Amino acid sequence: MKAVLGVAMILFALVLAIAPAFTDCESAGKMVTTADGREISMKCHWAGAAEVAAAIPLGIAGIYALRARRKETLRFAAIVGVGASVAAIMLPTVIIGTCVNPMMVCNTLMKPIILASGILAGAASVALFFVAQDEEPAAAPVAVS
Amino acid sequence: MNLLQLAWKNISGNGLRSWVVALCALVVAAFALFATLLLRGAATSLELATDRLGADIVVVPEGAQTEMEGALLMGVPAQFWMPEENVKKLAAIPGVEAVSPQVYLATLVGASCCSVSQMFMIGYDPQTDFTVRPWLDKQLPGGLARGEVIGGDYISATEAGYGILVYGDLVTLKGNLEPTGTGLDQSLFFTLETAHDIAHISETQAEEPLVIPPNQVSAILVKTKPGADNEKIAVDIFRNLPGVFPIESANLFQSSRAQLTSLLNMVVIVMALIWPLAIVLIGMIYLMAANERRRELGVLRALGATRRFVAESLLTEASLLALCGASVGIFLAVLAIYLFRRLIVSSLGVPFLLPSPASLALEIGIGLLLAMLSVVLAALLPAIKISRQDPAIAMRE
Amino acid sequence: MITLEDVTKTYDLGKGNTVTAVRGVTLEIAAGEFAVLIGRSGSGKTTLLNLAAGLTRPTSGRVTLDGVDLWKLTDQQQSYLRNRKIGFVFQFPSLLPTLTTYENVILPTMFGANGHDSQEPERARAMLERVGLSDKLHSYPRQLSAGQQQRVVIARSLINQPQLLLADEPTSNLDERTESEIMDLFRDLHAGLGLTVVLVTHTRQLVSSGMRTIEMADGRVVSEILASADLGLEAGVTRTIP
Repeated sequence: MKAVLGVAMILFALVLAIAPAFTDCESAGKMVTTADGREISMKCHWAGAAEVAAAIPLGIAGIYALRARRKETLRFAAIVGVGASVAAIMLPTVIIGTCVNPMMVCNTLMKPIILASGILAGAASVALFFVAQDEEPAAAPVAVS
Repeated sequence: MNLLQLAWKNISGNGLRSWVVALCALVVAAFALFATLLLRGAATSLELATDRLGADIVVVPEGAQTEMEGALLMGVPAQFWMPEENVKKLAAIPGVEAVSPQVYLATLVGASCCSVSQMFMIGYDPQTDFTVRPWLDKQLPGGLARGEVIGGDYISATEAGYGILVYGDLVTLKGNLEPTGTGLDQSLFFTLETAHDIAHISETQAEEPLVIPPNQVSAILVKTKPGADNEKIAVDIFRNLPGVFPIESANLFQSSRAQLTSLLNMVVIVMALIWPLAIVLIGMIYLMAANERRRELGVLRALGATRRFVAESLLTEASLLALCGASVGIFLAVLAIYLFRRLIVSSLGVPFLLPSPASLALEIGIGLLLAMLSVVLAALLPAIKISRQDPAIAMRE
Repeated sequence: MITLEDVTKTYDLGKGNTVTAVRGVTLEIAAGEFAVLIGRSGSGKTTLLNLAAGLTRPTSGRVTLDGVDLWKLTDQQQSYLRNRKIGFVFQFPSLLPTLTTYENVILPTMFGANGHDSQEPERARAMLERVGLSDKLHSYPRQLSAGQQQRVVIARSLINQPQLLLADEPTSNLDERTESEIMDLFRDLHAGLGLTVVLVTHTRQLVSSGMRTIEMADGRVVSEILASADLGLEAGVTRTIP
């Protein structure tokens, strides 16, 4: 189970890190032209780029979910995963935001991908927290009717 | 320990089988809900758009029908013109109760960053208007004054928090309309007076002037008398006024409706394929599982479990799996619809409106029920079969 | 306690093939008896045991438990009777793999119609202690040895305080030492709790004093011996049935 969750976390981290580069407005060829004629990126580009900062800890947490055998380590990875997922969700919504026009590609494609990945990665992390248990001894669950 | 706990323990003890059954439930529920939400969302949106138009017949220049629909539905800016005198001619046609002209304008494409880059603008005549006012009145009882505009749901003020720069003219955004999921969400409404002001200012202020040809209008909205035969009136208009095309509102958005119908057919076909397939697959899994667990179930009978208990425990397992799978599937479907609705709108070419929480809850409930029903239906036969078996035979090698 | 009257059981193997496992057996097991059913494999021992418990319907004849005809009862009544009066120990591993030792032991209490008995958890622990496994309460069957598993099965068979214990070759998968330990346990239970025990085995070596030995061959009871306390098996009272 934890292996499935770990793989999911790593996959979502990859999506978060890579997808914005292909789905922000800049990738669709849209940039702002300032008064003096220079082209600058719009804020959705920065929100997308910042996702890397959330994706790295999420990916590392995913690797730990795969490799770690101690309950405390797994739970720590889960908490890092939740934190990174929340950050991933907050970047395009609260912290940086995306373009104002809801029909622009960053809003129709990039933001939904980030939100979906973030929500699912968060769910996987929460699940990891609860399935985490020591692996060394063949310890049985304690719950009795 | 009770039946539910026993079933749960059996589920967690039989990983692969449980995953497959839950996955089947997930796919069925997710697909059913996704399709239902999409189709109903599109249908509601079309209804709302037709409603908001508020006319029985829309008269546009010949050849501009698709452009008109594209503008209303998808917000693709359109511009077309016909002589203003058509207004009077239309009013003279028998069965017509009221007529009102509108002018349609388009902003410069990609004019400014990060606001609505393409805006469909509708100028209406406050003297004769009967279509914009009814729903405008709800928000602005006084109507729009000169220099004031009201926007669709997506329109936001970019200048100093209250205004929008349109062709160099600063207009005041008085409010936003409720979302319709159509092009009307990125439309701007103002009076003809304001339209002419904008055109006037654009000559000096804009990169490209906005030209409203003198004595020309884009479309004329027609309200017919109660009980009148709209089709007959449309035919009359077509015969008597050269160069125009009357669209009955019932026939409006034909292409979108056709698109919707073909989508619905596809969904029905896919559903007709995957639903029985899922039931058969789950049924087979349960038959195999029941055979595999013959001895275990025989033991239960020997320990004093009734036939009914054995059947019930198998069905409880199935329902639990269905519930889990379907819940996840429904969550994913709602998440996908909610997050990707705008992508769907722009790629499918149909408008879309999120359902109200109440109807969403109802649809979720139906989805859950459907998934549970399919899994229970699939598990019913194996469960009854195994529970009727002679325990002594069941326990034999 | 149990009476079989001219009981025959024929299995239908399909395609017109039938096999008769038990032929016209008449047998009475009295309360408090320790009966051992012996015979070669295929002689009908297991079928006889299943018939006695109402786990399979006789083709002809009558099976009564405490005077009640088992096959005149509804499924619910029959199951209730099995649940309350009979404990089962099987030849094959019969613990539910997804349940812990403790959960397996209290499993039969789920089927009782009369709701929950607050003493069940206490009794489950006491039974596990009796079979020497009080430290394995939360272990899963796969974590136990075959002998330990069979002890859990015995504890499970006793949870509803039955009057009759039916054991079908309970030691066939065990090594000799464990086998004799389990047999000692059965003797203890018989002596200590006053249980009626019917035990199926294929070897005479397990038969000891005080046990009534019923030998089967080809679906019939061929001899009955009562092993006596000091004289051993050979000198017991032998009655050969024609």
